[in-house]
Amino acid sequence: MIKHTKAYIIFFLFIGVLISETFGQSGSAYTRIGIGDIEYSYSARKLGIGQLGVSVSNNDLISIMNPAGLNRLTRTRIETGLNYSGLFLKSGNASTYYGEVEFSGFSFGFPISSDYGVGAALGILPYSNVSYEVLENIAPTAENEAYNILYEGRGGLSKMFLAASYTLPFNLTIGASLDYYFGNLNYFSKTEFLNTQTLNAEYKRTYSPRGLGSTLGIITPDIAGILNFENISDFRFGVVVSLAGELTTDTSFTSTSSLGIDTIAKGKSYINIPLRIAAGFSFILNKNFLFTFDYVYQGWSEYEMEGKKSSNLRDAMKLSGGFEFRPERELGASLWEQIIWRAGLSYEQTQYIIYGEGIDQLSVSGGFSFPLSLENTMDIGLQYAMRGTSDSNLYDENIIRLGVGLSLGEIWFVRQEK
Amino acid sequence: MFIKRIFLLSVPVILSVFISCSESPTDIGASLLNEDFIGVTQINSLTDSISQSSSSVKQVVPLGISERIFIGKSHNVEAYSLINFWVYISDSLLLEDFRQDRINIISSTVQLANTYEIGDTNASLSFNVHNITSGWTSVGFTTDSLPLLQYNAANIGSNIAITDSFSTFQLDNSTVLSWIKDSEDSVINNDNGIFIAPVSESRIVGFQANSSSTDTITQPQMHVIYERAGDVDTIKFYAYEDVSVIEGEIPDGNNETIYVQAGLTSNAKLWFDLSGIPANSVINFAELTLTLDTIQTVVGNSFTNSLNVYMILDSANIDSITSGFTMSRDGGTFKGNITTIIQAMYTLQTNNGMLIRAGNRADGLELFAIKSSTAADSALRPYLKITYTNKK
Repeated sequence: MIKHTKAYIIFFLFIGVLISETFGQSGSAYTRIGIGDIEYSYSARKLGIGQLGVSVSNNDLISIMNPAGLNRLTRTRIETGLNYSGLFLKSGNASTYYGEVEFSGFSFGFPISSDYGVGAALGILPYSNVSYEVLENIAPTAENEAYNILYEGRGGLSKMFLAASYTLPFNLTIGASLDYYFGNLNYFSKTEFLNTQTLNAEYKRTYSPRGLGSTLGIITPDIAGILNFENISDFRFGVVVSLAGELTTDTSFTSTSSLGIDTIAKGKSYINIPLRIAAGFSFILNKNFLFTFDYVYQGWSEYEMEGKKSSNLRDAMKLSGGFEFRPERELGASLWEQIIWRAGLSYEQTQYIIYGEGIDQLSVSGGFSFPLSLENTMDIGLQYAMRGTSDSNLYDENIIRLGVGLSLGEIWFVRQEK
Repeated sequence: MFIKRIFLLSVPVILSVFISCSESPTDIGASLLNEDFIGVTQINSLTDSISQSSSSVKQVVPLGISERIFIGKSHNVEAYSLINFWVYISDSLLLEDFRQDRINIISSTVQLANTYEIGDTNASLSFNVHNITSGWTSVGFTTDSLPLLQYNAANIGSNIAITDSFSTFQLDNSTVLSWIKDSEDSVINNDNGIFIAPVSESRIVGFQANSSSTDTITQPQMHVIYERAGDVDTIKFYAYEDVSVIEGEIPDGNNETIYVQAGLTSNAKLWFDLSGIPANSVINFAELTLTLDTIQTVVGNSFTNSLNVYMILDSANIDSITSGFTMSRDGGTFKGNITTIIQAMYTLQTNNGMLIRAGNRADGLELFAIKSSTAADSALRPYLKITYTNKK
């Protein structure tokens, strides 16, 4: 099975990168603002329970949201996945549909000391996404022939991380990660003429930010005993703070003509990513039912690009609740009896505010984990979200997001007792 | 296990199906992208007050590479030709008979194949032929080389016959005999060929020049008919070097007309003020239209009906130019796509103007009369239309 598992990882990764590179296109023009849509859920599992889960730590999941959650890892784990987003846009009488696939990253985690709750993880994940394609058809006039103007945005910010956890006395777990942010934010404006004699023109603006950040998190001890709840266990609070700060950013502005690429402007600036704070609590009911409630805040009104704030950004916050049913592991249980089920609900005040209208999002999600073997699962998460408004010349979005992930656990680094 | 594998393998397939459902992009959300707005503008020299200037400039061009040699006079030019024949007799006995005057030359006839005419095709063509007495080469030979050329004043040509396909004239037999006698003498070699100078007006004929790419029968050649011991025979000598020289001046256009002429050569210089194009623009399309004065324009019976336009790189040197773009004839105008030239001028911030040349400068004598930048009717002046994109 290990051999087949590895083969399938390679196949999955290859197909995922191929699809995302070939077909990864087109989403919402809202992503032109700031650094685009912020990614909260790094796995299909988290997508299924409302994307957060600050206070949750599992022995079969690499907890990236809160590094303190690495304390329960019992196996070396490898996780990767693909996310598909289907976007229905509607504005007035116009509507359209876009589909997009993204590679949701890769993470690798392993336990170091179960006695002291030391776990570690590293990986690369998407942090934000810029993806849109807008086409204006310009009719011919007495002076000009017909042409199209195409506006495109591609790219986003990614994060490489190296995280670890440690359990202090009284079972208070702390975690920290060193994060490296990097990426490209590319914005294109193109004129496309129908007459082949008239040459097209293209302008491209690129921001390439990079810089270090960190994430600090804590998960409290189980307070279910203190509160004397009979059927409740693993009642914990969690808090996590992510600091990205100032990212050094290379900027360039080019045009493309019949003579090639001409650099109009080039320089160095910075992008200021505001602090993110998340807090939440979770508990397990009757041993099988996990409930989680979380709140995230990020002060996007303080975001700066090239020293300027954006009037289209406001402070963002997200409230989410999630539920997971995990059956008991029993010998002889059938495949279907081993499936883990999830559901979630969230409300988000996104960072976008345009023409005085705040863009909010309401989401409902669900999912399951399908067992591949004892420690290996394929995770499926599905989310339906409504975002935006058709007031003030804006547009509504109905978003379907499908996450597919692989979570594989193996025993590595076993120290032989002498 | 089978169910698992089916389940695992179906996921990428399902994703691929979903992806293919994307629709074409629309303009939803365009108003959010004001930072990236661009627009297209078209300007032209007629309605948008783009200032311009034009002039004619003569450029002496060696015609040694031409496929033709020209003889005659027409409109503003006179055409002279030089031809040198390879006089060589491989038969040593025959050569000795020539040297010992045992052979009588009956006639020496030069044959040229007609390939071109310009001017009054019904007019007669007459010219004098002179024996060249100084060395010369067709490489780099121009009107500037003529004053250095030495030739006998006597006219050694006669019996000129111009037909539709071939033209002939006879040479003085004694001159030809002297070429033959000295053909093997490396010290005394008075075979430097002939210099043909036009006499008649209003007609120029072009003949096939020495070339390796055409049939032998069309090459310039000299037929020598001789009598030797009672037998009459013919020997042919072919030209191995020839060149034409075109003399003349550019006509006076009286500020109304500029001239582009092949052969002479006359080029037109044209300049447009591009400073009105905003910074950081991209040139999508630029077209130049030149209006012909069809009354003053003179063309041959077979010619390249196009002009070439080049960007001038160095204002002090009209040989410093880019590669050219063709302007094709469209009724009474020449039109050409010069997008790359305008883009280069704009991008490099270097505007020394454009050079207009005949489409084929060496194989004809066409005179294209073009309405100038100061023509009385502004609608007939050189017309430049530019479409560009820039940031809003």
